[in-house]
This record gives sequence, structure tokens and C-alpha cells, in this order.
Amino acid sequence: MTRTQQSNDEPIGPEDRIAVLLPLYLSGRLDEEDRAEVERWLEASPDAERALSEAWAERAAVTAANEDIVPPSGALARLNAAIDALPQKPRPATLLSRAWQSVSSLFDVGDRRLAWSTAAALLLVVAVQAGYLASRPQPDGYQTASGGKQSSVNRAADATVVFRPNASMSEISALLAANGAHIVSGPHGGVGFGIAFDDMHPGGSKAERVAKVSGNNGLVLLFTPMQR
Amino acid sequence: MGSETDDFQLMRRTAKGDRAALSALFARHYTRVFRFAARMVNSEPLAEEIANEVFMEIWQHADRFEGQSSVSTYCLAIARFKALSHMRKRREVVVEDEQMMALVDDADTPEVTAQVRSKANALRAAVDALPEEFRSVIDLSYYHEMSLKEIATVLSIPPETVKTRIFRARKRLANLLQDAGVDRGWP
Repeated sequence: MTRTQQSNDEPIGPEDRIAVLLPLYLSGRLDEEDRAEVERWLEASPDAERALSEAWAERAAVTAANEDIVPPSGALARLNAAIDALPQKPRPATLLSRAWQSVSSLFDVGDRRLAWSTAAALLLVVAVQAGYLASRPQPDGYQTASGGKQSSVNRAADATVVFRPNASMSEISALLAANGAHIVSGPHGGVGFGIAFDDMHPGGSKAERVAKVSGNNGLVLLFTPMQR
Repeated sequence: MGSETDDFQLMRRTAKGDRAALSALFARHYTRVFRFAARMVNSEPLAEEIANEVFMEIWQHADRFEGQSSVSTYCLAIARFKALSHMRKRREVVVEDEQMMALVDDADTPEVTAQVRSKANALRAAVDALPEEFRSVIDLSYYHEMSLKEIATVLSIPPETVKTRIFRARKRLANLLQDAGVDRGWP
């Protein structure tokens, strides 16, 4: 019988538990009971020092073997390229179809004023995003880039938003301010606004802030990201 | 635990299509996944392919993650599955003691003899020469610092089998070192 076969056939006795537990003990991943067992053995056994030394040496060799493997550069870019090559999910259509469902439900419950304004907003969102309607300047005016003076309303909108009819200006202002968002165009048809998000803001990443504004906050009726 | 909570939040956001969240998961876990795959299949190009498949799987199916294990455990479990699938396709032959035996056979010159007798080098060669099933369990416990339960999840085996493999892996290391003329003596 070869040594290999012997090794595979030998049962593990209770005295071999420490050999099993030591690697996990060094990693700090034993439960309380097993850790206590190892520590009792280490205190009492004349083999403790040698056993620990061998386990540490193994750990160093395994760590070196793994850390010698250098991950390739550019892997994230290749992953993103592969994701971009995937068949695109119809996210805008999904959002609009869900919005239409919301409009239908509003008609069902009889809130016709809200339903009609929402339906009008949906049409405007589609029209704006399709480029059929240009954004209008804010009442306080702004100058184009060629005029030299820049303002936030010159920024391209990240999304078109329709706020709920019962949302107050102070509530909307607070929501936008908390998430580094600004109205940069509109109102379109009296209901839709283009909003842009600051790239950097203490409120979190841009994606997090977009989620907060587009999510269930009681103020936003419709949120449609701009397609770029 | 704070890190685990962050990972869970990143998975939830990834499930909603947040590419920034996926990038954050990638930054946290790619190196670990790549190294684990490379040690399994002994090929860095194939390991890159496997690691890419792991994160593509996460991107497309993050909603399947239920939070019953850590995200790192989840990633390595997927990596193992993908690696085994590739290995079955390629009909890889697992080299057991060849690396170690070659080192022993080369122990004819004084320089190589000194190298072999260098315990650290011998141990490193022995670690690399372990069969895959032993190498994985040793890597997961020493390098990836996983618990018994986490190792069992990654390898899809019971915790008691994990214990058996750890013991036999360490015995195999001792035997390989002995063959190379290095007396360890424990276990």
C-alpha cells in the first residue's frame, strides 16, 4: 500500500482534531467552543510550540502562493464591455408601461384630475426625450454658453420628472437639495421638469441619489431617465 | 459585519441594475475570486475567464442572492462551479505529486539540494503540489480565512468532510515534505 493510499484510508481520531482546527484558529474563524478547545490544548501540550510553528509556516506558504498570482489589469473594463454587449433590457419601455398602468389605476379609482395630468405628463416626457420639444428657460433667465455666463439650467438633464399635484414647492426643493439635484429645464406643459444631478454630493453616489428621488418619496409621480 | 452589510446593499443595488454597485463588488471581491480560480485550474487565462463569468452571473442574477452566506462565500461558490465546469470540458488531469517529485528528482546538484532542503521552499512546492481537493480546502482556510461552514458552502460538502479534508491535506503536506527530505514531525 502506498503512502498516498494509507493517508486517504486512515480515519481521523479525536487526537487529530487539533490538526484540523489549527488552520482555522490562526484565521480567527473558530467558534467559541472550538477556540477554547485549541487554547486548552496549546496550554497543556508539549507539542504546542511545534504545532503552531508548522501551522504558521503552512499559512505563510499558502499566502505566498496566492499572492504570487497577480490579477490582470483592465478586467473591469472587459467586464463592462461584455455587459454592454448583452441584449439591452427595455428599461424605458418598462417604466412607461408601468406608468401607464398607474394612470389606468388612477382612472379606475376616479381621480380624474390626477389621471389626466399624469397622462399629459407621459406624453410630454416621450416628446421631450424624442427631441420634439426643446427645454424652455427658467423665468429668471439664463444665458447660453456663447453668452459667457453659466448656470445650472444650462446643464443637460439627467431625467424628466413630474411631481405630484399635492407636492409643495418647499418639499420639492428640500428633496432636490438633499440629493444634489437641480431643475434645469421646464416646466414642460406645466407639469414636467428636467433635472440634473451633481456628480459629487455628500448625499451619496449619484446612483444612490437618483434612486432616492425616483423612489417612493411621496413627491414624484413620474421619473424618466434621459437616454444618452 | 459592517462590511457584510455593505456587500448585501451592493448586491441589492446590483439586482436593480446599478452598475456602480457592481463595480464596487468587483473591487472588493475580484482578486479573491481570480486567485481562487487560478489555484483550482492552474491557468491564469482560464481563471480570468472564470472570474469574468462569476461577475457576469452576479450582474444578471443578483436577485437570486438571498443573503444566507456572505457575498465572498457566494462568489467563491460560483467560481468553483464555473471552474469545475471548465475542467470537465477540458478533461484536465490533476497533477498530484509531480511537482514535488520533480523537485526531489532534481536534488542531485548541491544548489538544488540546498533549495530542496530549504524548508520554506519545500513547503511552498508541497502546497502547490497538493491535489485540487486538498489545495482548495487549505486555501480557503488559511488564505481566504473562511469558517468551516463557509468552506462547506463553497465546496458543496458537509462540514465534517471539510474537517477530514483539512486533516488529510495537512498529512499530505507532511508526507511530501518528508519525501523531499524535510522532517516536519507534526502532524
